[in-house]
Amino acid sequence: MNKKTFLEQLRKELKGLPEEETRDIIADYEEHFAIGKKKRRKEEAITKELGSPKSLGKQHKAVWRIEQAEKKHSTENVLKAVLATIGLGFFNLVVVLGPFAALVAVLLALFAAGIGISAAGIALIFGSLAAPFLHQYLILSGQGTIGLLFLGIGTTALGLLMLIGTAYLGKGFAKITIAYLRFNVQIITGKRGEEE
Amino acid sequence: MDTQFKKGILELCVLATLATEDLYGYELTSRISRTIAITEGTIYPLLRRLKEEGLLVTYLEESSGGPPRKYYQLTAKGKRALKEQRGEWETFSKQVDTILHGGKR
Repeated sequence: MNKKTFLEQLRKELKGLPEEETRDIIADYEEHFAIGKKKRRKEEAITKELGSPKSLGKQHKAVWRIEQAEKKHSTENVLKAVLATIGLGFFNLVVVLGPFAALVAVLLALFAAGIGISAAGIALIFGSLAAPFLHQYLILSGQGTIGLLFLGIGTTALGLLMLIGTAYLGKGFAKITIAYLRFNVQIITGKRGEEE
Repeated sequence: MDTQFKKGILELCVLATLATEDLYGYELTSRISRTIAITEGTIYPLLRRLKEEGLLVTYLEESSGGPPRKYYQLTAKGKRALKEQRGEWETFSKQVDTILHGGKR
């Protein structure tokens, strides 16, 4: 292909990156072409050497996304970094998505448990406060209303602690995910460049 | 399988090549591909990553009658990384050699 097509396809893959970053990336390849031209090489030969612009674009995107995720551990950034790394090839689907999905599942389970326990605790509190007015509840539990109230408070506290703990865990998982992605990109980057 | 070997040590090759002198992208890809056949374009995402990680810095230099060239230079961190990766490679390749020679040294 010629230089124009190469750069067009590269640009297409880089969609989503800020214009400044894209310009900087393209500039490197422009420089490469310019020097090659000076040595009287043909564009077709140069593009053949450089490899698939789509694959290169994906690698650049993955590198940038990981950079962003490291700067700000937001859910959006981490998710995008995971997707960009997976986009590098099917191999990554298993190696990256598997562990990531497992981590997310654990987080969600803990979060759900936290909510469930908090809800149970709140229900107990209300139950204990309403009990004097509803005789049947007094019969259901062996405790007196005060005991029930404290049990409710304790349970709610446990649930809330779980939720807070899950939030901190989430932050920790984000850090681990980013480090793992970086590790993957280091090993896997360019594999598609050879195969495509 | 060949490609997997290459990808793993391309970073080492880039760092080692820049240890002796600062080079611009085209030079670097030409030099490495003289010895090992690689998809040259993949050097650029690698270089960006290494720069972002602080192993390299870049500077522009005007060239006579041509475009300004972006030179890549190893930082102190890059030199340490080179030393470390070189050591890992030497250990690893010795181990592979040992296995290839049937466990006998």
